[in-house]
Amino acid sequence: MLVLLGLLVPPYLFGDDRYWLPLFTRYVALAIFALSVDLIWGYTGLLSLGQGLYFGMGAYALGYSLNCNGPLKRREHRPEPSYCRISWNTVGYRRCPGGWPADSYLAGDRRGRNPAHLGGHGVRLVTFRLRIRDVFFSIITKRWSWRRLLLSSINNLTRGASSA
Amino acid sequence: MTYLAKLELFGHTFQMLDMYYLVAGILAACLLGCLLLVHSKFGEC
Repeated sequence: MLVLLGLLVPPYLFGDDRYWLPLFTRYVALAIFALSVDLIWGYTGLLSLGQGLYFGMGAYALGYSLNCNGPLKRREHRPEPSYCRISWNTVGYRRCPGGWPADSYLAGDRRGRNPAHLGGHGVRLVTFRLRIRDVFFSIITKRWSWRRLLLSSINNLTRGASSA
Repeated sequence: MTYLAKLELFGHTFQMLDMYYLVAGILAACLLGCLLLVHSKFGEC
């Protein structure tokens, strides 16, 4: 309860400060990430060396989506980057399954969360079905995160250049 | 990060104080969700 009440302190202290309030907003967003680490490591005892993978996957996919067909493109009036050729909007995916327009922030958020969500479910299925634990779980999550890093930074097979 | 500090959701623009309350609310929801999870039958060792 003290933690929840503590969340009300920064707005009280900083009000409309354009430096400190966005900074604390980012700290709170990172606290969500820290909470996930606490849950999996502190409670279950599984040391996940790839915990940042899902956080990064969501951020990467959201930035990719907004860069290609979101408000970023509309506001800056710039030509479509070459790596957007395979974006979902350009292959005829005009509306998301939920019915939102494909160029809205919410659609970008859905597309941003979906890869992380699906990746997390894949790892969960493998981990719990095969009962992976201890150092084996750490090794596997480390390799998964490294594989995803390579996929993001050396993706010239599909996009002509690195988009990382 | 310039434009990502603003979020338009359901016709409402979240920025500055609104954005902080949105993120803090998600954190509080996650915290309560974790508390419920570890105290449920899924959290029994």
